[in-house]
Amino acid sequence: MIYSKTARAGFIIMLVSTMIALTSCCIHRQTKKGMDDINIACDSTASSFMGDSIFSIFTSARSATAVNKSISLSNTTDTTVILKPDATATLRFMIETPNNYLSDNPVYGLFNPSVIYIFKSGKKEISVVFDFGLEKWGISDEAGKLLFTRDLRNNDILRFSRHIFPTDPLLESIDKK
Amino acid sequence: MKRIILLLATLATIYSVNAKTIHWITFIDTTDPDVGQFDVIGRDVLYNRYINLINAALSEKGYNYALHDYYGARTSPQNCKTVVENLKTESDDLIMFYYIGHGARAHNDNTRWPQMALAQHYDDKLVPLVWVHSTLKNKPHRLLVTIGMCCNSESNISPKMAPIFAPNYGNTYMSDAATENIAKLFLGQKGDIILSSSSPKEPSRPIGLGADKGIDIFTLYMTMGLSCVMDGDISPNWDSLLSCVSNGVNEKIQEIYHKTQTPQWESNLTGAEVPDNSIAQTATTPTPTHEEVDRQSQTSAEENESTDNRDKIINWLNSSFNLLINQQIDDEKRMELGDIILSKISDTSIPVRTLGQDSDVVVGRQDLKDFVGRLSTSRVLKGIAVANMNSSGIYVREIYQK
Repeated sequence: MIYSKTARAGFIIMLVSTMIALTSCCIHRQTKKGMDDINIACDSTASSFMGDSIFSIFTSARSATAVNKSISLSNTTDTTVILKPDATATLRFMIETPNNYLSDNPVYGLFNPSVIYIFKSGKKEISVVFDFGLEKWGISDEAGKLLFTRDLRNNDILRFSRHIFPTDPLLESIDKK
Repeated sequence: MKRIILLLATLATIYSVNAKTIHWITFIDTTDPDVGQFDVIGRDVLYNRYINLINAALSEKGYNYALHDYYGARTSPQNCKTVVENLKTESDDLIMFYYIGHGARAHNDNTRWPQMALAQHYDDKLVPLVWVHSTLKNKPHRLLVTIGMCCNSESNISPKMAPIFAPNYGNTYMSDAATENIAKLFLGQKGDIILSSSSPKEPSRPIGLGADKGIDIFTLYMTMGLSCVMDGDISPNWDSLLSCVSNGVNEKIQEIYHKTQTPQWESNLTGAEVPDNSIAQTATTPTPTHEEVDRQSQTSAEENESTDNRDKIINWLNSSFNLLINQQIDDEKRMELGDIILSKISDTSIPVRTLGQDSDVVVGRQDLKDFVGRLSTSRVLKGIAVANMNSSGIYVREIYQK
């Protein structure tokens, strides 16, 4: 039994400290475990669709090049923009979102991408292509052959593209839907 | 087969021309790798559950029909432009244009109507639905309905201007009330309508029917809507029908895809008196020349897509068969007509196969002599639609009085 105030206070402090230490360890472990789960989910979904060779180009490219094919752009607008590494990482993160690989529902519209992001690694490159009007995206190989298409689940990459090409009237109009 | 085609083609039109005609112009992309398979079914459903029924109903009001059925390799912008520009019509005619395939819109398009791809992908060859409508509107007509079943989502192009029903493997049946409701829908209003399967910025989508089959949702609901009109569940006018179709499509798309697809239309219609029943005259479709028939016969040894000559022959057969079953002509005259047709044909043993409403299951087979005889004495047939014609014979679908 603890009788003196000092001893009781010390015991309480020790008890609380022990509780905090145990809890923070649990939180730390859970957090670490959760983050690992998220990383694994991103990698496996994207990599299994792209295949190892394509995925390695996609992940190892230091920076991506954005190309705008819209016929509505004025002659004075830059149609090619090289993204900085951090912007490329953000774009890569959005493309890897597992929800963007869930479906490829047929629609009665022509897949006609207006924005293309080119990822290069050494001499190899792939293009990630977007038709925001149809809400679809895909990946083409170096030869321009479309490997697959998928449905876009949200407007994140559209909004990102609008920041890259702020004067594109097609992207602006689609974003206003 | 060549001889029968020649002999049928040389029969003079028995009644004078100046017939009232329903001109069906359908362009259906059945070859696209993504949606072509849906459109094969879409075409079958459109003809078996919509076009054939309407033709049968309106034949009692004196209407013949002319089919301009473009699918497979014949779906193209050039064919669309040619048939729309060259269509010849009279003031009492009905003009029905229906497109199923890919489409898109430019973001800066001034109209709300899509452009049709017509089985190709080049921007400069897309055909605006509004161009089809305005070109056809300039031709004489009683009623014009222009329908585009395609996406209306924005694309990088330049501006230019399913309740699931059980398939019926047997014959089609139609009651007098259903016939009258179709007549009210198509003849009770005059003017024009333009309609697309989705509003601006929306794609159009298909629905699965199980077993890897599907159909575009809009055509499915159009045929279901017509069925409701026939049954009296929807008032026989275009606004009621299209409101019902639009609500149905949107609800189904929400349910399946959690997206929107809202059919839109613009109508310029006034009320009109439904004409009394009258005898359908033979069609104004010109009889093919011997040269055209010879060319057709040379290529008909193998299965091939429709050609213009084949369309003419099929249209002529449709008109003739439907004349034989018209009960407003007295029985003796109908049998005389049947005899006249048979007297011109040396080989009357050509098989005529009857198909079910929703499939290619053969439900009946007769030689042409017996078939013509049955038609000219029938009291229960309302309509005959020639579905196909090749070296194996003639394939038809029959619509019966319910």
